Amino acid sequence: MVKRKIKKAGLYIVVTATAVIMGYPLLWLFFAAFKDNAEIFTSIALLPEKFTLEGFINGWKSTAAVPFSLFLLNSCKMVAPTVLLTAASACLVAYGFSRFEFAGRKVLFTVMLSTMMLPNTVIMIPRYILFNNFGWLNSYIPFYIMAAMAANPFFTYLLVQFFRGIPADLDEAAYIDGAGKWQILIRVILPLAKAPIVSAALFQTVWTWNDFFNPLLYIDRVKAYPVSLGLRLAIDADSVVNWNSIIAMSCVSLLPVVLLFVFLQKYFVQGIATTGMKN
Amino acid sequence: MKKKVLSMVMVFLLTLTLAACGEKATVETEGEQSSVQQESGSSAETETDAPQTPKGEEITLRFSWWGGDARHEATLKAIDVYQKAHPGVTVEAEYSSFSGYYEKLVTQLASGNAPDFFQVDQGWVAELYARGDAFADFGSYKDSIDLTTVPEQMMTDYCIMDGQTVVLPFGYNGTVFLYNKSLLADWCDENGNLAMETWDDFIRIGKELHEKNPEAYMTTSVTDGYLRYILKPMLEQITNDIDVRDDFTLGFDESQMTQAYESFMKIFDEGVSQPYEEAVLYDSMQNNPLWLNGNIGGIFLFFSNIDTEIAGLSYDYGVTGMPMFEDAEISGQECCPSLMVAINKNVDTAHQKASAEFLEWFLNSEEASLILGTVRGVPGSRTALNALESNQMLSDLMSQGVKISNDTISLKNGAYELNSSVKAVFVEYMEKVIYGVSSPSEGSDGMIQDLTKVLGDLAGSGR
Amino acid sequence: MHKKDKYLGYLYIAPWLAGFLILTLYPFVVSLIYSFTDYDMFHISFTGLANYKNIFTQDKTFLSSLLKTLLYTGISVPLKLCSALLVALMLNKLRRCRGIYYTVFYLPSILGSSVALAVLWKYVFKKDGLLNLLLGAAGISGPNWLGNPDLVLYVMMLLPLWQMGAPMVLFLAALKNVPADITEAAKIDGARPLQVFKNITLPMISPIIFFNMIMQTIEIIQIFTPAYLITKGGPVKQTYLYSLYLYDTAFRDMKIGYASALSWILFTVIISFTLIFFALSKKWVYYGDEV
Repeated sequence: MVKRKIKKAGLYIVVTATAVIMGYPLLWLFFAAFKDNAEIFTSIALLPEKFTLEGFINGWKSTAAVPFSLFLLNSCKMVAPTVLLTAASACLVAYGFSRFEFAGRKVLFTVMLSTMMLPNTVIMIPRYILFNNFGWLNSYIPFYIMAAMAANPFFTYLLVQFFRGIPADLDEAAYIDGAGKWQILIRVILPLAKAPIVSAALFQTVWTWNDFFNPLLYIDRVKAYPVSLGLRLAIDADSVVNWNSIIAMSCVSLLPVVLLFVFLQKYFVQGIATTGMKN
Repeated sequence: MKKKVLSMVMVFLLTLTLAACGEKATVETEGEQSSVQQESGSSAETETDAPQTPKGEEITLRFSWWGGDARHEATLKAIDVYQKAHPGVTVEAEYSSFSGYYEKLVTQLASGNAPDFFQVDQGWVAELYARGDAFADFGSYKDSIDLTTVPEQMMTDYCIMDGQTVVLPFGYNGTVFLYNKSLLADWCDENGNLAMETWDDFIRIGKELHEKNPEAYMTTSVTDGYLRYILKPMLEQITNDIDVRDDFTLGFDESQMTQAYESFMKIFDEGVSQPYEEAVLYDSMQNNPLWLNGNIGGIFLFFSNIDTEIAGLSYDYGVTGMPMFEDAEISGQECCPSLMVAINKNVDTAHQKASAEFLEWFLNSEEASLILGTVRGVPGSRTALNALESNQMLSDLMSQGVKISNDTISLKNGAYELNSSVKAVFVEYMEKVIYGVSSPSEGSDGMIQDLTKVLGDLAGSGR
Repeated sequence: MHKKDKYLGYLYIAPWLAGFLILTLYPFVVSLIYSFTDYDMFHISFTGLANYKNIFTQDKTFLSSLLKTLLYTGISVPLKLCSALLVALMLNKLRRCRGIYYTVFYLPSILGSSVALAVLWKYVFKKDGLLNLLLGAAGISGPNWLGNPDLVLYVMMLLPLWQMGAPMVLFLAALKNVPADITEAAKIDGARPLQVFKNITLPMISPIIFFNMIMQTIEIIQIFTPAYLITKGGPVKQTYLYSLYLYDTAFRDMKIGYASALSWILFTVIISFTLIFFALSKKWVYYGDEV
């Protein structure tokens, strides 16, 4: 019993130490938002010498003529539908790949994975021309459509892996009960795959939220910029850069995502004991 | 089976390409296909209408630039003032940070979707002109925009290509040395002027400073700055020629480059500059703790950036010119337009004309100059510069910098000197020499070989 | 399987298939065509295999950046995966304050490639930065991590390690699916923890280990952020990774044709690795549907 307690304490010490190492730089970054420019780059201390809220105030007003709240709103408009569409399309396609036998399945699957393997640099231009021809530029449509069409195989493949972990007997049992393929997906597969679906949604949120190059290319109007672009508006080698505003607004822009993570966490924390898994 | 799939793919592709080509003509007028909320519906309508039917009254112009807060704010304010005075004109501001701007611009140019007029860097002009045929001739709009306000020399050196005025300067720049009077007090005369004429002076002062105060260095820079403000001026002082001539040949030979490297390395070997491996971490003086702490004697910089680099710092500063070798005839400083503006060649004449009219006001009018100040450098237009001077809008240090730079004899920048591919070769070998990977002579040998290759590629590019 | 299911399968994958044909295939084929041309965004001329020939015979940067990238991938992928798994295993054992720990470990990934990242990284690794301050306290005088050409590539390997959130979360999700009763039963039967891990846990999460391995390899071999944002490929090109070379070739030198050829070479490298991984996976990855 004592031995167990020591073990437990040891575990907590190791985890806490690792967490401090990983988290300290972020904590520093957070406090840097309250420092003035010179202190950010000259001082190594965590806490600000002179505590200033200027970074937050100026950053929120956003000197680039667009209030920062608009960037946040734009990001939400861009991200929310993208995430929902990604989750929906990834579930469908993953179900198709993991539960059906059809000609060319393996080839198509490989083709799907391979779309991740060609560097974006050379796809960017033809894709831009394509979207320009479709008249999709200056809107979030490219993001929505790509999501609706499961264009990022990461999510599809992720769900395929988890779906395949769900024993086929469950499908069979439901089938015998008279469920169709669609009902099997809705009633059997999806409830058991909540954790991976939530993870996929979370990743897509983070990635789309932080995406810089795609919005940069597709969106011309500053009023439609998402935060990832808005944050960089003030960075210029030939101008005075108020780093405390930039860092402050980086923190603010991360907040929704962090909150989302905290909110969704229960799906990882609560161990729903799934039964009937393969031995 | 495989064949079937393959042929299907080919057919699909063919249709797609055809569809894409067919659409192209109509898509030029693409306007508001957006789900993005516009604050007013009327601006959306004007945009879709305007390109096809220039009624003369309603027109929307797209203007793109990069910059920081101050530039964005001032430009937006100027646009606002212009729009109020010209009710039919809407100027869509497409501004961003520098990062990604060029990539986006070339993508837009390549797909015929570029703004009506846009900011470019002097280093891009020659290549974009040769490859992209992207620039309209300002000369065609002489009635709308006064082209005589820019000094003639500047026009011929940087703006006119094959008889066409392809770009105009927003602002121009020259290299000066901004020094910290407090730190260098021992080497300044009673008026606080730094007694530094030659590179020998520069190195001697730097050595003495570093010996006296081991934390302090005479200078520091960013990677780009070591090249443009120190190494290349040294080279030009040795050769008395521009580094990269407009006929794609080099203005120096191996022994001259080696000599430049040897002089250049002294600033590191003698403790005159902050060690390169430390300086290289900062992409701006504003991030460099030594500069912020007042432990740097001075920095080479463009005079337009003086106010930026000392913002928020409470030391006493002075400005002086570029140090020279004893027998040098020219300073090697860069004195040239930095930011320029071009009108898109691929939009209709109504838009080009309206752009020229806007730029006439933006570049030359007193009203605009006073709003814009020096956010794009010291104005290249004489009328704008006069407006700033008569309203005391240049800081003392900046006016001194302008004067010093103007009084210095220097050569023009070669058209391809600041081309990014060319510059990358310079930087690569400069770093190799600094880190001791190559000796000065190996460095100059390799550099000349690579430059010759890159220049060969550029010479063969475009038309 | 029932006959009509055959077509049903296509129906379910239709969103992707349509997207692939409409949005992805065109850029792919176009870039493949470009790779046989001299294309600078404005002019195009067919040059056959010249790009590929130049890459393999004359291009020193190609080989050096490819080797650096492979070294980078070869070290940071296993490092990231092992750490993510280890952290997930530890977190999975925690009873109290899980949420806080989850958040702390995931936070660096949320930061993504934000501009603040460069500021932060330099704060930690510069000569008088945080790391050297700590080393100094232990009596060690640390080097200039990012300015030293011999060290910088290895320092940059820590970035994916720090941002291990995604694989970690997936490991946690997978570990959650390992029924506690089975592992407990094995322990009661006298199995050592390591044996339980090796014989029960590991096989059960193997699909996700495999998934993470594939995805991280694909992602890290194309990694762009550290080089672009923090070191700009330097010093002395020591962090000039393949993706940055590619980017420079395309946008700085405007050699889209050449960059396309470089891309397709990287594509070949990645797909070869992936196919090898898939071939080897049959030996150690277990799926629930293989009854």
